[in-house]
This record gives sequence, structure tokens and C-alpha cells, in this order.
Amino acid sequence: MNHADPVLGRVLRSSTTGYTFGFSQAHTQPPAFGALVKTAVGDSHVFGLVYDQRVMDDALVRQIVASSDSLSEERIQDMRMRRQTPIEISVLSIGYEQGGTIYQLLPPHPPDALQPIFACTPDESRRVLTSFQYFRTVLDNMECPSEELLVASIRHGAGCQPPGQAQPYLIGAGRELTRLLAHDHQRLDAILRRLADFFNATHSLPEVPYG
Amino acid sequence: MIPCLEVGRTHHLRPPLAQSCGIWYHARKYVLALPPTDMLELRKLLDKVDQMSQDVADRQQLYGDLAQEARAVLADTRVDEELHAKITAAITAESTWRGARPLEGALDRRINPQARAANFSLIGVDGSQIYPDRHGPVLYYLLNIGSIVMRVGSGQAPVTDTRPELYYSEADLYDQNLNLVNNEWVNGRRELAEMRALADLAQAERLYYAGDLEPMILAMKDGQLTMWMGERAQSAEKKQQLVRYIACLHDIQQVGAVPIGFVGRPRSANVVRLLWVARLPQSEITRERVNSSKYRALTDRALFSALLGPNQRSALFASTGRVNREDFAQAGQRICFFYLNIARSNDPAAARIVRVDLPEWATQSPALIDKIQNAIYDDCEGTHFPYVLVRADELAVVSQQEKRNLDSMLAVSISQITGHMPLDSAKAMAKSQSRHYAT
Repeated sequence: MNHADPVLGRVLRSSTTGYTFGFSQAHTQPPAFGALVKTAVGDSHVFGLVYDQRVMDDALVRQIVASSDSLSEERIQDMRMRRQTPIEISVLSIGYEQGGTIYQLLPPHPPDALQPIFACTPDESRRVLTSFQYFRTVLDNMECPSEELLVASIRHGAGCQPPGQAQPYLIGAGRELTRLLAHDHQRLDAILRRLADFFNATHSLPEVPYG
Repeated sequence: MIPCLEVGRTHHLRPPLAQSCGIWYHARKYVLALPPTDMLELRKLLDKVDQMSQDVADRQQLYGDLAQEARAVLADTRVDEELHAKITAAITAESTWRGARPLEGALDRRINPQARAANFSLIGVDGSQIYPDRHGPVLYYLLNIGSIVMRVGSGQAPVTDTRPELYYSEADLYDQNLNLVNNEWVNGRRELAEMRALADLAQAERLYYAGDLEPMILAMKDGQLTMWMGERAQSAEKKQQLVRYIACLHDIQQVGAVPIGFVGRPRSANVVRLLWVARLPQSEITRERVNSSKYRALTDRALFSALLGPNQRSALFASTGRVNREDFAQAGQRICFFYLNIARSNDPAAARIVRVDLPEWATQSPALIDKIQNAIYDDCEGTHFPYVLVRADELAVVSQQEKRNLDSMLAVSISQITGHMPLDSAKAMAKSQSRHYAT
């Protein structure tokens, strides 16, 4: 990991299946739902999908919102950019890289507290999301909105493919989903319908933003 | 439910009040059933609580009558040479008399501000401290000054900062008599640090405006503008602190900014004392009579709560306290004040009377006072206290957990050098263990 890359935040709590980190960048947007992030655990890197973002409130925010008819822009900016109102982002671990090989399995160890979190580059995302083994990890997780998360990560993975490879990627993803959800047509239908519009528009995919 | 809040009450409180508080009031027998191991045995206080409640109610009635009488005196007293002569006589009779000298033509003026600044800077500073702890692992004290600079009307995010300083040298910890500095000493240093921060920020803010003196800059601190420690400044060291404090006011003035002291729940009685002296015949202004005010239980806040409407300010006064009339006045920084109602409702029962301190040189322009008043009133929107001071306090506050973290950090760092881990005293450790269940 290049230490010059901006740190998105640091781990607050973690488990084998995922972790939550506090977002600390005052001047940038937090990573999007379904974005791929990474952190170091020992000599390996753990990759995960962002599946939840919570903006915590506090007594001062509640008081001001409840008792003010209008909020000055300065106060809004102060609340958003200067106060330590925490944004907590939850991540589902989907794999790890060790010795140059990417394994789409739960990592052997969760990240330690205060471990820095980084956004994955498009190239990293393409390498990690090439295999569809992580689909089962997402579908089996009860804490995250698994259908929506899968759709978002598939779209992200397609956007990271070389020119002309997005549609083959999506077709491959669809086949894997069909295999996994052969006995759950409702769930399969829900995911494929969400992907259909994106599939039809793949000839004009926007460049995947960093993170 | 936290047991300590489950206080058995009688019928003194009206059900709507109890309900509005969100606290369920149970019969006395509930309190009597509280476990006997509670640290504060509330059951032993039930009768006293009832007596106190009745006493408070009785006194509220008495004070209400006194306040009404005092307001009549306020309205009837003329500001003329006779009144000023009485004030001078009171000071002569009792040098520590903290009354008020009016700076305007009527004591009961109520002023609605006209002028309002469109774009200006509002600076808020507050300080917190860790006092020297004889029983802690390491002897030190800490000051933490929080600040925020809001450029009102700009739409910009404010500039925030904290300045923590650790004091651990022998010169910091011991006075000239080799006694460990006490909390009052630390408070004085904190006051000075707050004022220094205000002066520095005011200077920086004027540079932001490229030296243009047109934009208003208000530099606000929580509490009175006169240095509290200065009232009892006896030693040379304390005098020196006072000199440095006043120099900060001068620095703020030099950049065309205005220092403001905001007192959110003033307990001062300067104007009330003035009214008592105003009632006395000139020949009866003796030390004994000056100190035997009939209105001594009243505060200025009680006086003005029924007088000032939302965003109305009182007349200007100057405290006659020794430090203000000598040290501050001689340096050209005599501090004046006015009372302001920051409530949004016209209901007199909902009045929120605050006191605003500012130097006399800033009161020469009525338009400037109007702008200051409006700026403060607007900044209290939603928080009932200046937003910049709320945030400055939030930035400055040092929690107990943070203190423990700092103590641990110091202990580890010292042990890495000395090979020995500094520990709390046996007393502190025993108290920490015995109080575990109470917290």
C-alpha cells in the first residue's frame, strides 16, 4: 500500500466477516455504496465492500435543527467539516491478497483497531472482482443489503474492465448468479432486473472514479 | 431507570410539570425501598427536600415583590449630578463597592437595535484546564484553549483550532513562596491565555481583510471581560498578569476589533446596588448603609427580565469595582456592560437575560453597539448561547478520560527513560477502587 494514498479513515471495530471504520476526510466524499476498499492485516491486504454508511448525530445538532427556523451556511459547514460528527462506514470482507495471490475467502484475521483504510484503484478493483466467488459471501450475509450490494459491486467491477469487456463481464456475472440462485427465482429476478438497465448501457460506461 | 433519579415526591409539583420533565414521580415508599448501599442515601433527604422546595417558593414570592419595587426605583431615578455624587460617595465609603455608574441619560432605557452588519467576523474563545493533582502519577497542569472564527455572511466553513499547553517546570508549578500553585492561579493563567488567543485571532482576522478596518470583528469570550483574578490581585505576579491581560485588550483595539465578554446567566447585582444607593440620602451613604441593601438578594437579571423584550438591551453601565475603575480605566480600557434579552418569545416568563461586557471606547458609536447586539442575538439562535462560544467550549473541554489518557502517556514516557513507572498515590488508588460502583 502506498502511504501517500489518502487514508479514508481507521478501523473502529472488526470481526472476521467485516469491520467498521470512521471516515475522517473533511474535504472529500466518503466511498460509495459497493465501493471496494482495502486495509493491511499483517503481511496481507484485506479487501471489502462498503455496505453501510451512518452519519451519527449528537445533542448539539439536534438542538440546532429543532429550534432554528433557518440555518446559516457557516453553521452547516461547521457541522459538516469542522465538528467531529462521526461517519461510520461498514465493510463486508470478501477476500484477501497474500504473496501476490488473491483469495476470495474470509480473511484469516480481521484488521486491528485504528488500522488505516484506503480506496482501491481501478486496477486493484479489476483484479479483485474478476472472480465471482465472493458472490456467495455477499448473498449469505444477513447484516448487509446483499442484493443491492451485489448489484453495486458488479456494476463497479464492470466499470473497471478494459474497453469492450464490460458486457462479457456482466454476462459472466449473470451466469454465476443464475447458478447460485437457481432455487431462489425471486431473488435472482430482483438482482438481474437491477442489472438489466446497466447492461444495456454498457456501451457508454463512465470512467470508474478512484474509490 | 437510574435509581438516584427516582425521587419520591409529594403533591408539590403539578402533574403537567412532572410529565413535561419526563420523570415519573413515585410514592415516598419507593425511595424508602432503595437499596441501603447507595452512596447518597436519598431517603435521608426527603424531608429536607420538601422544606427546601417550600422555602424556594416562599422566597420567589418575596423576591418578586422586591424586584417590582426595584423596577419602580429604576424608572423613577434620574441620572444627574446628584446620582453621580452619591455613587462617588459610596465608593469613598466602601472602596470595594461593586455598583454601577450609568453612562446614559436614563436607567430604564430599552433599546431596539437599528443597524446590522452584513458581513463580519465573529471569534469565540474558551479555555479548559487540568489542575495540578498532588495524588496523580506526575505533577503538572494543562491549559487547552479552543477557538473558532466564523465569517458571517461568507458561507465559508469556520476556522477552528485548539492550543494545548503543558506546564511542568518548577517555575510553572510553584509560586515565589515555593507553594504549589492552586486552582485559582491556574484559572488566572487560563483567563490570560484566552485573552491572548483572542488578541492573536483578531490580528490574524484583520490581516485576512488585508487591513481594511471596515469589516467588523468581534472577539468574544465566555464570562466577564474584566479579569476576575484581578479583583484580588495582591502579589506582584498577579499584578503582572493583569497588566498583560489589559495589554491584550489594547492589541485587540489596535486592529479595530471589539472584545466582548458574554455572561449567560449573570448573577451580578451592580445595578441593584446602584438603586439602593440612589434611594439613600447623601448624608446616609456610609459603609454600613451601603452594605445593608434591602435588595441584596436580587440580581440585575431579575430586575431586567420583566423590562426587556426580545432583542432589547438596557442602558449602558460601568462597574464601580476597584479593578475596573483603577487598573482598567487608567489603561483606557474601562469595561462597560449592558443587559440583553436573547429570548425569541414575548412572554416575560421566557426572558433570557444575559450580560454583555465591552470596553467603553467601543460604545462611542450607537450604530456599532446596535451591530454588536444584533450579531450576538443572531448567534444565539437555536442554542440560546452564542454558537461560537458553544463550539469554543466543545473544542476546549478536556474530559476525564482524556486526562487519564494523558496521565498514562506521561507515565509510560517517563518510565521508558527512568525505568520506573510513576503511580497515583495510595489515597487516589483506594478512592478509585472504592468509587468504582458509584460511577
